[in-house]
Amino acid sequence: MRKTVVILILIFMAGNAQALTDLAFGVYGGLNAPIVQDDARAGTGFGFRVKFAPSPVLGAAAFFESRTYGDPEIVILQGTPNERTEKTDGGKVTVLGIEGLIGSTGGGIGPHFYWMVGLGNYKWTRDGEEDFSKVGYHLGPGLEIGFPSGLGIEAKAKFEVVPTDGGGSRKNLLIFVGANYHFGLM
Amino acid sequence: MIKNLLLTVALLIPVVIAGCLASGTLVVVFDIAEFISLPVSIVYQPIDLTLNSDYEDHKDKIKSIDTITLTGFIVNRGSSDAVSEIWISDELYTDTASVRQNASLVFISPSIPVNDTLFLHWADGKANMRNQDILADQIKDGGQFNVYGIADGSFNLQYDLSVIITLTAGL
Repeated sequence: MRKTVVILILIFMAGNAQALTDLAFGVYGGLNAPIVQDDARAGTGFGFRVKFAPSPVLGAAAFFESRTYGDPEIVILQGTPNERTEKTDGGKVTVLGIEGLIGSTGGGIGPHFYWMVGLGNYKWTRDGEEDFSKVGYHLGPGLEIGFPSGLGIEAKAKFEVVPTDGGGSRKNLLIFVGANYHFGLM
Repeated sequence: MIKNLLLTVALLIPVVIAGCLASGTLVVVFDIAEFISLPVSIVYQPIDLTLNSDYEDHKDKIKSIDTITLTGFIVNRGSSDAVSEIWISDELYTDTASVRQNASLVFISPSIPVNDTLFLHWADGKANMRNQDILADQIKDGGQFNVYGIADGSFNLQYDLSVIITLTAGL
């Protein structure tokens, strides 16, 4: 009887044998869009993530992202003979972070929707400016579709907030698509 | 239970930092155009940032001045190479000695050859800025002050510059 109950619980939790405990490695890329930041324009980015899901509904991940901003432009000396458009370097951002995952996190065949929340070391480097390095926070949903081979195609969005000195913040919308490979520990 | 708790925490994180959510980073551009600076009876340029609508709209909600830089042209119309200096003060001065003694230096240019024009790009101007904290305080404190352009010896400089102020303000 006890053996039967354990088996039933495992079947109920797992959905499939691969999903009970999962280790996955993924790469992704996409859009890096600043929100209300006149000194940066939308750019691109890529990253990779290692995800560990000890249960089908909870997981944790470590990630690294390398992103760029587009170059901002301004018009100087407007209305004078010397009027011209001037631009500067939008810069590069690297983020090394961790995040917690809740939802359908365990991998396996079919669609898996989850939420992620995390933090990371946000470092922004620009020509002619001092490096900007702060802890940033992010939150967003993800959807992965798993295939029998252990591969999964994933799309995710993050709303990122990086508090600055003085009580303000820099905010970004990140939209990524990528692929994961699930090692499937169990 | 744990799932709901984590979801709640996840949703609360942006709320906890809500004080910084309703802010934006703005770039305010203020021109100092066709400003001629001579050593005799030194000319000053009064600055009134409130004439700039972006600044005027947000001056009471400034959270931080992130960067200040200059971009544009400095023309050396004098008879010798010149290193231009830009000083700021609330007070009015009529000679270079008084400016150097009492005002605050905020910019030093590279050497500008005779009858030559220096163009400062947006990214280049920052390296030539000095005492940005003093300039930032002036910007936060009403944005009205005087600018002096001077150089060593006899000088005749024409400035066509834009001040680029990147600031974070409440929306």
